[in-house]
Amino acid sequence: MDRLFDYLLSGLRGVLRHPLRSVLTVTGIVLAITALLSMMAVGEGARQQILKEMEQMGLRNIIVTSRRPPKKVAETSQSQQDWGPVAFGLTNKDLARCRAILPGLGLVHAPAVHELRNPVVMFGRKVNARVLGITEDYFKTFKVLLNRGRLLCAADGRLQTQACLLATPIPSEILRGRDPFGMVVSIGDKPFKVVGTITPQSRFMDTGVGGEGESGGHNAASNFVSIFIPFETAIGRFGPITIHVDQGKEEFYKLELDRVILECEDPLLAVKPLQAILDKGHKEVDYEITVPLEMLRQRQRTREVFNLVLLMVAGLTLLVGGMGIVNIMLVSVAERTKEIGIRRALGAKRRDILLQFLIETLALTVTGGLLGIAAGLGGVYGVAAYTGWPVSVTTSAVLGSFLVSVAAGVVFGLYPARRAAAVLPVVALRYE
Amino acid sequence: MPAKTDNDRREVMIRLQGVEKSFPTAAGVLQVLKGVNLELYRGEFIAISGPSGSGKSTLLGIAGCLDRPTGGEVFIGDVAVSKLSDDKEAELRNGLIGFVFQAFNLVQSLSIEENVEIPLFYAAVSRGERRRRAREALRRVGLDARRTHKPFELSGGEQQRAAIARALVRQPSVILADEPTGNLDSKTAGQILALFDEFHADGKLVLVATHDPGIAEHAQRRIHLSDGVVDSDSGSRPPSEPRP
Repeated sequence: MDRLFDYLLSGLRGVLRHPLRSVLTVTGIVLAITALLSMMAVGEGARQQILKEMEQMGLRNIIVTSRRPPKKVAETSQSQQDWGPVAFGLTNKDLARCRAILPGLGLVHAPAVHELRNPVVMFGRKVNARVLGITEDYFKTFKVLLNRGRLLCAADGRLQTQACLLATPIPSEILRGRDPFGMVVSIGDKPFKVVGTITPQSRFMDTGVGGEGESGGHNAASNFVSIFIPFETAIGRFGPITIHVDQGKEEFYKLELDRVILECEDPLLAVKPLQAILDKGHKEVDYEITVPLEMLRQRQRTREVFNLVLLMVAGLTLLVGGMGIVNIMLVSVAERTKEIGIRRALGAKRRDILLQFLIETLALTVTGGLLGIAAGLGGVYGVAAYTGWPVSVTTSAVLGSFLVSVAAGVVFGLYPARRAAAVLPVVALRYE
Repeated sequence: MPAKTDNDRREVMIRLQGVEKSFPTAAGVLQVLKGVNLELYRGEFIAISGPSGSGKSTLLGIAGCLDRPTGGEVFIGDVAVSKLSDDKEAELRNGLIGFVFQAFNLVQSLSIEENVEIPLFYAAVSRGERRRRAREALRRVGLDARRTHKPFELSGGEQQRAAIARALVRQPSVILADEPTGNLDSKTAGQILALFDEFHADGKLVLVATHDPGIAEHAQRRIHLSDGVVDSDSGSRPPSEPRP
């Protein structure tokens, strides 16, 4: 232990003997470790972010969204003139078939959404709002915290009540300190009473209303309100016809369901039967199936490829840095041949010389590693603060980076150290 | 049966038996030592002299296990050096032999004290003990006050005294000195010689390769090398006998 400490001291002295040379030598290692740590921090941050997003979407969910097929767009004006609104997307029949067939494949809930595009007035002012007509089981799939009042129930749907829920947070410019509970909101000139306020615990599909983190603040930032009304009310009071205004031109569509969310025990198992059910009822693909679990896997695969590329970059940087270290250590061995001869003459064994030079290289790479870790941490948190990227520095990433610098010292220090140890004492003593 | 001589009764420290050494050069093989036979006894003060290129330094290197002969055998005590591993040879150099070189050969980046500690370091002596013994050795050569200095801050004579302190610190049985006064003035050379005398007085073997006739005169036994062979050897005598 005493000797090891002496070797370490000697190694550090070697580093400090030529400070500028040492700094230049370790630059490659510093950059490599910085790149490595950054890669791991960004990669881990992205992984956690993906996981969080997917969990918010619901890893047990299959989301089926109505999509206007491309040719319908071209046909729209002509069709509308000839036959009125063009029908597309998911229908109540689709939902009924899913609810009938999929339970055998582990379907738990199948909430549906019909979105209204009618103007909304609150406190006498027109506001930006998303009005979602939801089936009664919607809040079984998407958990909410009831702040006040009550949720929508089956009776609301059956009776087509004009009751609504508001999702918090509600932009303060709209509220201006007023209590929304019990007030009346005008949706498409129809009055709806606010029977409750809710806070989402998970992100609602496509509403931009989130339960946690940044998505939770989306409402306030975007200055719009999310309003939930009974599905039956939405269809019964407003009908399935929706009006789209595109570049000042009105377009009419018949769209029964905007989305159906199928909560399944095993979404990957249910997705094929679902596809078969939908294919039967649709002549063309006017819907889109999203499986968050599948998306998660795809994004994880993409992330793995991205990580591999970053790892290769870090590896190449390490290799270049390592070559620099080998070069400098060989120079050091040549410069200190006489010293090697003296030490050998005075009793140093080959392994003593090998250890001395190896520890000197280690002192260089470990110094580089520590500087790299410091630079990596600074860089990662700096970039995260500036760009808002999610990053996560784990203990294992820091430890791993440190171990890489140690391994680099051993790998790149071994050859020069062996060269030093192989010097014959009598030849080394003659060396000038 | 012949009667035992004094030499027969004394301990042979180093024995060179038909030692040859050659080096490959561009012009062909250069034969530096051509079958040298020598027995070096404990307690002798030996001067090896001879013209440049006669093989003095090569002989010293081989006798000190710094180099291996291309022919013949070297025995340290009863041990044939050619049978030793590299590690064992290093241990032998560390424990048995102290080297003093013409160019002092101090490690410039270390202090004088740290230089003196080197043989103790490789003998796995603890740090505290190393320090104590190094200071003692430096005190012995009169350099205690300069122990923290770097070699380049010392005069030639002081550097050579530091090198002698380093050679003595392990209390070896043999001191091998290659032109130890070659870079020194006559007064300083006298001081160095006095240190060798002290060591010799302790009953150790001192082997000095030198051009200096003063040292050769001072030695108890004189060996002259010429063209790789011993062309004269004043012969060994017991330490009690006066110098020739």
